[in-house]
Amino acid sequence: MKFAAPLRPRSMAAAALAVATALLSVAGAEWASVTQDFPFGAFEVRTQPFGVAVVARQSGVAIRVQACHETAAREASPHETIPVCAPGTWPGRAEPGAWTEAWAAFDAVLGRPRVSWVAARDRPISIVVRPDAIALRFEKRVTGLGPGIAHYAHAFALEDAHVVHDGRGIAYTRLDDAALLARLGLEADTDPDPWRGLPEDAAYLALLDTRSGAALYLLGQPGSRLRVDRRRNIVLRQERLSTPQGSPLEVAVRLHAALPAGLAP
Amino acid sequence: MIAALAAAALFYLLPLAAGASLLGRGGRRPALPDAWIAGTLALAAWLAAVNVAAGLFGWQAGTRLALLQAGAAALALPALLALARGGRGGLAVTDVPLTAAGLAAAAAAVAVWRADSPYPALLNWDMFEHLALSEQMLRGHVHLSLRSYSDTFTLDTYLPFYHALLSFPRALLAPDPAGFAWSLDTLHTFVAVGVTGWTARRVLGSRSAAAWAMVVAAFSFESHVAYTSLFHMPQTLTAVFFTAALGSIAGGATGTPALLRWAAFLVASHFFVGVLAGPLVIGFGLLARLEPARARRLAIAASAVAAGALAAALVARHAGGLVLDPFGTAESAHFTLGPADVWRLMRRAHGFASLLLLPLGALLLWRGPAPGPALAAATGVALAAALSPLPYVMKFATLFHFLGAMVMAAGLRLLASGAGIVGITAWLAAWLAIFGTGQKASFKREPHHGVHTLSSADERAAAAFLRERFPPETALLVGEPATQHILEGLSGVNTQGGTFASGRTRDLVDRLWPADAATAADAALQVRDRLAREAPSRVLIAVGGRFFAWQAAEPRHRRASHFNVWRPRDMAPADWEALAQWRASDRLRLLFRNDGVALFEVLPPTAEAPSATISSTRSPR
Repeated sequence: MKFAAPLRPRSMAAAALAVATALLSVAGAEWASVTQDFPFGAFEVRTQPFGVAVVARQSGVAIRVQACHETAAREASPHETIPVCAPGTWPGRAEPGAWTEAWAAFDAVLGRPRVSWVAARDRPISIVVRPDAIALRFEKRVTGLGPGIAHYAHAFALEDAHVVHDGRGIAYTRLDDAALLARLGLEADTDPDPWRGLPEDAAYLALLDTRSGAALYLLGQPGSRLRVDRRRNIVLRQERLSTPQGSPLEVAVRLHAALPAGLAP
Repeated sequence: MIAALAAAALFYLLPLAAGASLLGRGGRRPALPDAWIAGTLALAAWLAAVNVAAGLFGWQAGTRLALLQAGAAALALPALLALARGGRGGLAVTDVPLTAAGLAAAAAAVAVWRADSPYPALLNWDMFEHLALSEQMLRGHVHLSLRSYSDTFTLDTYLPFYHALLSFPRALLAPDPAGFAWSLDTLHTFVAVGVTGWTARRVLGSRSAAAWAMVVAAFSFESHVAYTSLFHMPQTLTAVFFTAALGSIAGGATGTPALLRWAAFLVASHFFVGVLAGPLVIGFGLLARLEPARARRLAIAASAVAAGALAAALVARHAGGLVLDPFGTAESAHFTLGPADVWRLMRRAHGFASLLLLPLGALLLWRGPAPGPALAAATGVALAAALSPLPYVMKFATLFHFLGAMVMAAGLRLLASGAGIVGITAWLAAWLAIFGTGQKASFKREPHHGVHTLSSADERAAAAFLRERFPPETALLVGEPATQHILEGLSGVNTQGGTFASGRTRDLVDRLWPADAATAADAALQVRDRLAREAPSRVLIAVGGRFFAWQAAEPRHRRASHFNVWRPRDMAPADWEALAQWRASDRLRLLFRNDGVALFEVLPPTAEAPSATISSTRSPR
């Protein structure tokens, strides 16, 4: 069949038009999927449907997650990734804005729904931890930590957590689902502000199962043994501190990962 | 890998060769769609006949398999021999540069897609259930209803031609199931691109436009529900057939019997896609016969009807008058998208190119000779259907993929080819970038040990263990839905519903953990497959990283069929430790374990615990 002829002559104008339209078209591509693979400096920005995550390149630890606009957790379909988001309830200081939103659960994005939070005194920073990002090790058997810890160890992939203390019950929960709580053999956490009384400049690592809403956090004493996972470039230091109730110390992990200027609390 | 690739090639070659053998007698060369239909029907009929006879006369599996092999050879060999001689029925390459362009485009797309998903890492979730159904066919089952083969299928959405075609290469070469599926997906990209070029050359009448159509077809990936260019599925195969039918019509085969024949086959191949594809083929064929002016008038009418229907659907949806869950499952509501969602997905597939190239290409086609107006109208109808706010309508994007590629190619020929090497290079780079970003955004956010896949090597090892050790009809595997789905597809061992496990099964699986061995064993023994003719002699429980992740999910998610633990999960040491009581129990016997999966056999309450026979692909921790 006769078909519309190409533009003639092959002028510069035609070439410019072709290049311009190609550029225009490619501008609509899903570039967000690529930025996660192009680190700048030690950190990279992963633009995800739920917001923006700033991720330590070598460790895989996200140190900043901006707001997620979905309130209902839902799983992605096999062929289409939809962000899994759950409203954070942690630890009751959420402010609108970049740093203090407590959002969680990015199974479709960064790995298992295991989320850690580094909390400054009043500015908790959400930390998304991929299961392979932090290597901790429980030296004691998890059974020595009570059934709650045993369950959590496995819910949070804390099987490698390095615990050097006596391992008394340190599980705190923030669980709305009472049935699940009972199923896991856990006690409800009634402390409305578990961070109260902690040093202002401290950053503490806690772990939160956002799918169930349950949380575990570990507190410790300065000068405790260090465990440094240099392989993943994560510097974790245990610190001995007071628990919110002033009881003897549990294990704490302080995150000393170098935060870039402007991102540190 | 070679056997898997060869088996995948046979998926296409056997029906084409059988059809050419049957219809090509007397020097005739059948139309491509007719050859495919005849070959498919002949092979499916032979499989049915052998299975029915085997049931009547009690033939052994070996006899049945030999007869399937002999039948396939008898049907296909005449045309294959002719092909080898380069004679009638041969697939002669008449346009080497165009063929080379298509091969290069498809190879580039496959290289990008498979760079982090190498053999045999599967990303096609549906393929597991197709393998399971084909397995049932190879075991002697025969029926027109999908649901009669496996309760993994909850709806009859097509006749099982696709699975018959899957079965013959498996009967002939016994390829590794995962490798076979991976090879089918990979080869599908080449076939889809090739058919696009073949049809575009005929419809658009331009080699450069055909080349651009292949580029667009290779580098645009509809990543939700449709999956046209990268996944081998009944719906995508139906869309390829649809495209070939359009090419045959443009090549002159516009007889009414042929149109009706092809439309009927399209509907049979996929009831949902075929409902649109069939009328489109007939409409395209009728319009192609008409004078351009009259064709345009009718095309305008068709487009107006489509636009009106779309508008009505949108209004009804907005007013809350549309029921979006016709099957009463959460899944159909889950797969209902609005225009904004579809546009987001179109952006992922085309960037902004569709905004520019679809109107431009449609305008050029509209003003051009037949069958240009027909192609423009068909594309508009398919796009309107895909945009409508009804469940699963994105399946219509399988048709739009090919139609849209040809329309956009018409625009690209003007824009890019007209600008010479600069324009061509710019647009090739643009499409490569669009594809590279789009395919990554869709499926590749969570690698498992560096590989993007839906089934891990550990799961494949578990499936191989099951296939080797368990006569398929004697065992029932119980696990969380994703593990059931994968292991049933790859091993052939039955499960209740695979990923579409019933609510009762989900409740029972829920009770497996946390629970002691006796409770778990009793729960597993209560799982029933509605299609099983007799109770399984052995019941197995599969646990692993997915199992524990599923157990940790919210209850409403554990009940939902559209919720799955999609990616492989390793079993954490704590998971393994937590199973200590199971391992020590006399109700469960550990049969197999690796880093991803552990398989337990359920023992009856009164049985003495036999010594464990543990098979492990890795050293125990």
